[in-house]
Amino acid sequence: MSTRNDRERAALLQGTLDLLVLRTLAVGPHHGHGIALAIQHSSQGALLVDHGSLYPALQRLEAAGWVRAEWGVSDNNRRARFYELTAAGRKQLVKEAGEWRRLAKAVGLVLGPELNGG
Amino acid sequence: MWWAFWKRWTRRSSDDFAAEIESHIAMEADRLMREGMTPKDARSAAKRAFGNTTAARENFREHRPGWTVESIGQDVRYSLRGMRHNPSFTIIAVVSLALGIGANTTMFSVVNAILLETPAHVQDAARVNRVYFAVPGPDGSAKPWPTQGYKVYAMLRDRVHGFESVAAFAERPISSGRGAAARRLDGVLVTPSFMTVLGARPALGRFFDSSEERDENEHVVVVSYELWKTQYGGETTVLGKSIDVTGIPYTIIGVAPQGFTGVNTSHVDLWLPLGVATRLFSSNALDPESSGYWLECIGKRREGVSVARLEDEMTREYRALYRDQPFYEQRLSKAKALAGPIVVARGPVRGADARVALWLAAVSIIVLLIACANVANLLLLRGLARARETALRLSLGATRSRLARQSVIEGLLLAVIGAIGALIVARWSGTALRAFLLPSADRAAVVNGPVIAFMLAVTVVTGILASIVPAIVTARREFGPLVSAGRTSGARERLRLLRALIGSQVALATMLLIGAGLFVSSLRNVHRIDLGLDVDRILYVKLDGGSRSKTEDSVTNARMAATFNTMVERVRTIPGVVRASLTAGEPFASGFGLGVARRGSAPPAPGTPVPFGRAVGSDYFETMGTRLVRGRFFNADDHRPGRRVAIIDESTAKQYWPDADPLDPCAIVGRDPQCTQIVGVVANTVLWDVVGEKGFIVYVPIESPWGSPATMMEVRTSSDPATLIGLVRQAVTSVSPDLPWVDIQPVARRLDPQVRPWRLGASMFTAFGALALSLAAIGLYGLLSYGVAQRTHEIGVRKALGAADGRVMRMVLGEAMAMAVVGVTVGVGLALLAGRAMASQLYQVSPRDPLVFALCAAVLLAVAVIACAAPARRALTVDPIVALRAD
Repeated sequence: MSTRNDRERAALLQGTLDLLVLRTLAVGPHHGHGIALAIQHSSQGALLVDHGSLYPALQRLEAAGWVRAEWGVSDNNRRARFYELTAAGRKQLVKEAGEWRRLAKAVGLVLGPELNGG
Repeated sequence: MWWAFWKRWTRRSSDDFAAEIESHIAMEADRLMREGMTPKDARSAAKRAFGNTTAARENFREHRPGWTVESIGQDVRYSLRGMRHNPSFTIIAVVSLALGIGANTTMFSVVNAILLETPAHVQDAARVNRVYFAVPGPDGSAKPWPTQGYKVYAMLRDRVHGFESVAAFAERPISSGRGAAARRLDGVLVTPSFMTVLGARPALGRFFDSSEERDENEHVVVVSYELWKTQYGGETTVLGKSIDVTGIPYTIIGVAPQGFTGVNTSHVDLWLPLGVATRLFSSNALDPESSGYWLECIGKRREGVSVARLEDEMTREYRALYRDQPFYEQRLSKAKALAGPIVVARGPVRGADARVALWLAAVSIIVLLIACANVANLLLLRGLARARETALRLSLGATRSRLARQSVIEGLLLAVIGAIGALIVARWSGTALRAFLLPSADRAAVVNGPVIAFMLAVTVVTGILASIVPAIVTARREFGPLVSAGRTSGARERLRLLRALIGSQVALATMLLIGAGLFVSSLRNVHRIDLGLDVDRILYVKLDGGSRSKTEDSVTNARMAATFNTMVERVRTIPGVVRASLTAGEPFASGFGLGVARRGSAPPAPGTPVPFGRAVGSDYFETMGTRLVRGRFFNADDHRPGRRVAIIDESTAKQYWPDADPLDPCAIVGRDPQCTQIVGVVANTVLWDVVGEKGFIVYVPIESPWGSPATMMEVRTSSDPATLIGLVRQAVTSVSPDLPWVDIQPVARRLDPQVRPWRLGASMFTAFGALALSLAAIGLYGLLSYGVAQRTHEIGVRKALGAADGRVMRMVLGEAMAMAVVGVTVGVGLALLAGRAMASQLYQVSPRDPLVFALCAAVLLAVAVIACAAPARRALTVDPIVALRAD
């Protein structure tokens, strides 16, 4: 396993994964597995969430006070830890989503219309 | 609600997290089964998808707040692994810290012994006071004085109610045994109350009782624990045995507790009752009207009595004591009593050793700071080298505080390993210090409880100091998620810090080196003082054993004079002895006023120094190596009794015969109306102490009317005088087998304590300066090596573009040298500031001596160049092709 790949994957994670998790939880409480699936579905399969990284991210968000968690029972009767967005998390989501949109727009402007070939 | 949440979260256990992962895997397996997998395949696929569950759990642990044992253990393991992988870093850091902490531990042990530790076996030391009296002299200055006559002791004992008990003591060398068996013992005469004041109990037998305070026939003695162990085998039968004290058998009545040295820290063999002083020293020692000031007084304050109240009471009683004497009146109205602490060095009269020790303690702290800066440097450098690793750990979810904590733990670990080395350094340097520099500090530099406690504290502080800067940098730097290499703004900030740290190291090293330079030139100046005598080749032989009772009996005196003359003759025959002579009284330690005048001249103006007389035997000047300026030395004829001749020194000649021939055939000496012939003028010689005044000595033959019986012999040797001590002792005791202990030592050793503060300063500053210099050099070397390694690519490009070697060299060296120059400049500035405080410790050297400053600056810059040479050469050998390909 090369360090370079490691680094790129890691790079993707921290900034964006947090945002995606927050966004997913804005709909309602969810457990980790559900969050991973939801992201995958919403991105039409483009974003595969690395399960090993998801839980540290949740951990981080919980530590920051943006989500809170509680054990509950899932649809198919599995015990699971449900995460829920806090008021502070909602604020953070609005802020980060705005930033991300601005950045995406800026990058889009630079890139201009889609080029052929390449 | 937040609080409840926080509490629940912090209590979340590792097991809870494991359960969550388990539930996730189960759900994923459920999903896969719904997609048609077999339960077994689904389970393993789910596990695979999750990745490494252990890693996730470790991640979980890292995110738990607080300092849990397991996470610290992890940090320690991580740090140790890092140290093992980078041995040169570890060794440099550990050695720096070992030297820094070791130097501090040693210095603290000295400071502890001199300033902090109270003498052993003293109860309630805070309530025990030493008594000083400050009586203004004719010039108005009032220096506190510790010794008093018996009268003052009696006053303190009987009249001062602020004291619960009062005691007096006097330290005196005691000659024990006769002839070949004679030896010198350190004795202390004490009042029976001495042990009461200190609250000490004998290890065996008893101390003195009150009848023994004034009775000179109570020949009893308490031996020290150490003497008891070595001379009497620690047997209880020692009680009742007798020991010879200046020729009289004394009965041993007790053994002092182990390590008991009274209120001073000097070595003690015997404790004697005060009463025997009249027999041992002077028949009027205990006479209330005696003017002899020989007793030091101590007392124990009553509970609740403040020092100020006690001082007031003592002052009142002291003035009352002398009220009847109109002679004292004016000065006495300003006399003041002082109650000083039991530790001398903390009181109003402190020795040069205490001052020097404090200086050195300050210097050792500077060395520790340099060592800290050095380790901080190394940690920062390594942090730079590990920038990628740090970025990786951050993106993997490690928090910054965790990384900072890691840095602190690493610093602490290094400090702890350094402290182990420091113990070795402290032991070694403590021994060296005791042997060469502080022979009086018997208990100094001993690693004991307080010293260990201090060392632990220093270790922790050092560890934190050395790592706090790297830790802060780690915590503050915004290593963004997209960090891709080491060359970031964070790296630039670290480099700035590194430069500041190395600059300050250079500055501190410069300061210490300048201190060393100033002390070394002081020492050289002290050694260069023309003492008027040749101290390196002379032995002093003290013939009166330090305690011979003076006798007015002329028959005895004549017999002694004959004996001493035979001794001189015998000593002169020893191979290696060039000359020998006799004197009355000890040069540098005793003297008597002896006026001289030109007949018919006006009486000297008030304030003119009155010369001191020195009675000398034949061959004195030749033996001492004192230079003849005019006329001649004494000849055999001059040493006939009744002859009136004198030799004066240059100062006396200039003062009393300013415009006439000093070889006056009819001068006035003392109050003698008859003519005295001045036969010669000799060079000025040192009077009391090496750096003190010189001159104003009138030499007369021992046999002349102003002379007194000889007590000293001076022996001039052709080689190192110390090697002849044994032969001289043999020769002396062969003439007079029942002689008490004869003290024989080279003059140089006698003068040594006077030179010691400078030597101490010079050697310690030099050692610390050299240490600081090498630490700074290591820092420079490390930084430049890193710089060259980081810029290999850039150097390659420049070379490929045709940059000449000189240009590359300038580029690499320029930065390092700029740092060195700034450091040296700041150091010079600091030294100028500190110099003012140091001026009193120097001898005939300006604290701004330009030569010393220039030399030290030059040495530092030269060392900087040497430290930079290797990395700079590496820069020159960079191969552009290889360098460009590497990135």
